[in-house]
Amino acid sequence: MNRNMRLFAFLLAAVAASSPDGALKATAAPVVPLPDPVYEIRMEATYDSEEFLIQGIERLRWKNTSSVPIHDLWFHHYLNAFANNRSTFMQESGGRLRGDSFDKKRWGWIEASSIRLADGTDLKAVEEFRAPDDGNEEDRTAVRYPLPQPLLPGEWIEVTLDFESKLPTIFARTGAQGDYVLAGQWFPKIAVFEDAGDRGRPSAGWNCHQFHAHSEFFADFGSYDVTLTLPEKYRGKIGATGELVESIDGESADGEGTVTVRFVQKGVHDFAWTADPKFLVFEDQLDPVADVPREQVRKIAGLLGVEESELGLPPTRITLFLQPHHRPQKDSYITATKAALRGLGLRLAPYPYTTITVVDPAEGARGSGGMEYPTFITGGTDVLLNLPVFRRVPVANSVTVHEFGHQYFQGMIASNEFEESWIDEGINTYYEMTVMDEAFPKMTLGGVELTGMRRMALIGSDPRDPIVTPAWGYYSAGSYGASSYSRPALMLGQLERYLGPEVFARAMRDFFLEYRFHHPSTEDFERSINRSTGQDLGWFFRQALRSSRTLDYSIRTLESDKVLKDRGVFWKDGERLELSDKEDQEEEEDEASDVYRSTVVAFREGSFRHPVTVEFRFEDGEVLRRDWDGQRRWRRWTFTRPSKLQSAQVDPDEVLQLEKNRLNNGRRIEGRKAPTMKILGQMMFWLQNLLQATALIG
Amino acid sequence: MFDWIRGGLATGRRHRRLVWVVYLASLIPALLWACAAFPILSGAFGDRPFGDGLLGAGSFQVWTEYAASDDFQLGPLAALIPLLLGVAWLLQILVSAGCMNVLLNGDSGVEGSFVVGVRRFGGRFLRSALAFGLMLVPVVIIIGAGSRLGRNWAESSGNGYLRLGFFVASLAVAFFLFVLVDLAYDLSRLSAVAWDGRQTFRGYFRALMAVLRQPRKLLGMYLGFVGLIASTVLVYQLLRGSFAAASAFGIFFAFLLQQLSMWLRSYFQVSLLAGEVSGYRALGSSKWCRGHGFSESSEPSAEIPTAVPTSEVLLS
Repeated sequence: MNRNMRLFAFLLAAVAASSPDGALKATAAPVVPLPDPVYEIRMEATYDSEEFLIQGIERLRWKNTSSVPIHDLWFHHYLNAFANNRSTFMQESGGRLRGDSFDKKRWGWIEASSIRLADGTDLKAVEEFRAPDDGNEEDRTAVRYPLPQPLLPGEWIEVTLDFESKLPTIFARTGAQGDYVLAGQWFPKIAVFEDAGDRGRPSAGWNCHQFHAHSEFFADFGSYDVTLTLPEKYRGKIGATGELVESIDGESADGEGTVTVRFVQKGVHDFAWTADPKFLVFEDQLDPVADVPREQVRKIAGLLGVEESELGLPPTRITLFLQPHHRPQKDSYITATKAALRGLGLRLAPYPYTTITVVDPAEGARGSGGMEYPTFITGGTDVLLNLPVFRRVPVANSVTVHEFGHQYFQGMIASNEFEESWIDEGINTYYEMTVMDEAFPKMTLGGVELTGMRRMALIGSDPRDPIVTPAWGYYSAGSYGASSYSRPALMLGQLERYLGPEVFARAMRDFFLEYRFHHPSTEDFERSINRSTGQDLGWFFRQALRSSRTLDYSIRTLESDKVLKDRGVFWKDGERLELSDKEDQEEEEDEASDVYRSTVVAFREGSFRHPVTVEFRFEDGEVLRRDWDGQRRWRRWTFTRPSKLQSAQVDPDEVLQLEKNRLNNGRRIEGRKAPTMKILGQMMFWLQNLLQATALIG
Repeated sequence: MFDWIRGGLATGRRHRRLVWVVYLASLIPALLWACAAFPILSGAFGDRPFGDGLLGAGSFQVWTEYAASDDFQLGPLAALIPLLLGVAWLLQILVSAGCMNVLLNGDSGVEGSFVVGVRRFGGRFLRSALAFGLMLVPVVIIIGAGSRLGRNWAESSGNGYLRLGFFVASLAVAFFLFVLVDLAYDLSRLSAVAWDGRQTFRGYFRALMAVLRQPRKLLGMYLGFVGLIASTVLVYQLLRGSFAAASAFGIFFAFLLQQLSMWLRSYFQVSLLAGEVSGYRALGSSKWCRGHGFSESSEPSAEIPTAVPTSEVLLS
């Protein structure tokens, strides 16, 4: 469907209604059409919980949606990242990721024993493992199968794969630990074939990267119909992408009890599942009336410039799979999920699926936490947060909100996480911060707000890479993290302040609606924002996204002195006039008039150029503001006024979220001791306490 | 136990000079450090409006911005803090020698003076600190290994409550063991002062055995004083949170409150020592730090402890 058709379909579906008193109704939610599938997968798989082995049959129907004939099929075999210590993933990560270590006692792998076409041709014999990113011959995460005949544009192909997957001990988002299973990237996954022009591509071809330590995934939208058979101990404790449509008890060949479940979901690009006999399972629902405050709807409608009735949300079923030892945190998971459903649903578009599954990983299986799959997210909490004293620490809530946000940014805005990780992680981090600020109180300690953490990653180190960098091309894990999460989130915060909250909110919504269920690139994002705002923001995006320039403006010079009275020879009305000192005016004070000449020099310390506002405060209370385009290295302002200048400040409204150093933004003529004395007093007090503590052991 | 606490507090009140010594022992180094830090912080915040955020609820943000910026020049001074703590610890050992001499022998006359105590027992106390330090090593190892085992066990069993239990239990056990070895440390030193004992290393382990034989009352007394010390910090925090301290007067008032809190803490510290003197007497004023040749019936050295002018309560 082309872009206009998509927008039209959306508008047609957006039949919002409200009752006479304006209360929202559940029926007000627009019906969001899910995308046409590029592929359909029917899969049957059996899990052996003793051997951590999955045996499955994948029946794939895949369509050539491009304009060229296709001569081969490419698949991801992601699990092979954990097959040995020579894989690209293991070499890049050193077997450590997100604070977790890989368990070398259990390697993970995937193997397709056959891949048959509809006519019975088995492509196994022509299987070729490829390493398009680094040429690593030991890496078996990308595989190519040449086709006997080209697949023409618009044609479908059917293949059946018999595969076997061994799950590693939980690591890097997937695996099994004891009875707990989080199966992600567990089946042979068809790659994305891009047409010429897609995401700026010069010619058509497969986009199939190897699995890298600092990258996630990229896939097309399809329909999944997956039947899983597990030992009976998992009955009622299995969650997965999509709707559970069937659950049948059975018996395995060796007489053991089994449970078979079937999950179905359209319009998604991945399928993950989880199981743990220990799970406590809770069902809840986002109630569009009771759970969505009118005030929030009114505020966001005002921001977006739409009628409140347009912002209806559908009911969404929330299924929580909770570890028993996190029982006290049940409400926290539900509350955070609802906050995210509201926050993103109202700002961008309603969540289009009927269900969201939230998984609480098992103890010691944190490697599977904080991850997103379509309609399925994993949280990240700690048993310590059960304790009342830690209840107000919002860490677990922010993980839930963040992972839910991925339903939008990568779930629906299915960007290429290998090549442009900022689109999903960065934009999602921005919305995570927005929802957290909106739904949860700020964390405070002794009356001090513990905020500004996101800036730490930015200001703590020099940016070494442009934000737009392939995930495996960053200087370090830290650079990947800062460039994918904090910097782009702050960049969006800066854009919001620069454009104004309304313009920005509308532009982001337009971008979302335009590219929902597509694979936008950075260029698409830029084009969409430019079009929506009616501005050419290329200058901004070039610096913020495609360079590692540092943004920093400062006030370097600040002077304000009385102007001396006129002395010397002047010509007035054709007459020469000499003004000289009288004897009683020789004192220096008498030399000065009552007028002050104030000079301020602002400096661009970094190479990132951005317009800035400079604010000048005078002793008589007057406040002046001047705009500076910020292009030259410096700019001087001189004022001759009857009042002395008090201070000057670059960026008084803190528009420049990406700024490296905010301390140098302003200067005062008269120094002030109070802030120093206060902080010094506190530091001294805690140092005294530390020193005094030595008396206990001294 | 409460008698010892009450007696300790009463003795502490009588020995205000000791309280001042303990208070100054932490104030002076902190003040010196603050004097060195002042020009650095003043340079960063003095003429910059951004620093005004330190006066309000946004001080954390200002501080994190400063700490991460190129303007952060406190690094060398911050690196000095561990060294300062080491020096403070050595200083407190000497202060303890003086304090214990005064508390046991009275502050009248030359023999009972603080300075004599420092001179006579300072070196021995340093040796005793070595034994104490050695005892802390196995305590730390036991706690570390226990926590790790507990964590592994909890993770393999998939039971987070086990890990929570181990976490809380390790803290409690660590604290309990620390109190035991610290009590033995103080009691052995009191014995060294009381009987002019020199075998502080041996004395430490004897005192430890004595503490282990009768731990309840001693532990109660110790925890009572630790509770008082913790409550001064807590009360300070509560009071401090009740006003903004954004004006010069507010900042000055907050500083006075801080110093009052520190002085009280020092007072409780001296009172704890006095309480331990009572505990030592209750354990029979043993000569743990004397060599094998000593006998329980030996007369105490001339200056101790029959005429100790502590409190009637302490002797009850």
